[in-house]
Amino acid sequence: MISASSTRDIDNEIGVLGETANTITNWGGSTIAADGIRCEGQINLKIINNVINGGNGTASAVVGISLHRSELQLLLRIMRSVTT
Amino acid sequence: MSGTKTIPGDFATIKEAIDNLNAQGVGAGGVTFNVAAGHTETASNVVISILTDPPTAANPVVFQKSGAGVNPLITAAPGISPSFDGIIKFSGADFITFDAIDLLDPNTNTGDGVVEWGYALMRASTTDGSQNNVIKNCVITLQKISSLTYGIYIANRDINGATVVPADLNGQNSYNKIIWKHYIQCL
Repeated sequence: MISASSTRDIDNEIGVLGETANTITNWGGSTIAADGIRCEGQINLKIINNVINGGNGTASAVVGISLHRSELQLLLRIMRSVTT
Repeated sequence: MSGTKTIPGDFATIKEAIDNLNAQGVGAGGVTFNVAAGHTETASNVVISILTDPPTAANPVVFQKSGAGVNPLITAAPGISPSFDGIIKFSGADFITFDAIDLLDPNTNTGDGVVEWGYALMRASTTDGSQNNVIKNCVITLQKISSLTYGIYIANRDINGATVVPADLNGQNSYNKIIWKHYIQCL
C-alpha cells in the first residue's frame, strides 16, 4: 500500500476486528528483503487483526509490517496484529 | 448494467462480465455478479476501467461467491511483463467489492509469464485513483520466485507500472478495505 509523499492516501484499512484475521503466509525466501505488509504515504491507516507468518530462508531483512516514511503517516493504528 | 447477474449464466466468465461492465457502465442500484461456487477460469491482466456511468456509493458493483462449495478461482494466464502483470487490475475504479473470489498464479508460469500482482488497485491518472473498494474472503496464491509479487497491491502507479503522483484527492487510492479471512500465500 504505497502512495506519494506529497499527496497521501486516506483511510485505507487492512483487517478488521470481530472477524477472522487476515493471514499472510510463506513469503520471502530469497536474498531480497521481504515485507508481509508494506505501507508508505498513508493518512489514518488502520492495520488491525492480521496474522503474518514469514517463510523460511530469507537471507535479508524480513519485516512483518513495514511502515516506510512513517513520519508521513498520520493517525496510524496497528492493533491485534501478530507477526512471526 | 444493473441488478443481479450470474456467472456462469449471464456471462461465461468474470473476465467477460468485467469487459461488459467496462463498456456499459453501472445503472441504478448497482450490479451484483453471483459467481457459482467452484467456478474456474483462466485470465490475466483483466482491467476494470468503467469510464461511462462508473460505480458510486448508490450504484456499487459486487462480485461474490454464490452457493456452497469452494471459492471461485481465477488462475493466471501467463503474464507478458517482467514486473507489472496482475490478475485483476483496478484502473481508477471505485465502489467495487470482490468477496470470496480466489486468485492463483501457478508455477507453470515462468519468466515473464510470472504474474506479480493478485488484486492491484492503481491510479488511472493524477486525478483518478481507485477508491472505496473492498476485497474480502479471498485466498491469493502467488509465486515466490519473483521479488515483485504482491497479493494486493495498492500503489502510486498506473496499471502498467508507471509512477503516477496524485494531483488532488480524487487521484488518491483511498477508503479501500482489505478485510475478513483474507489469505495471501506464496508457492
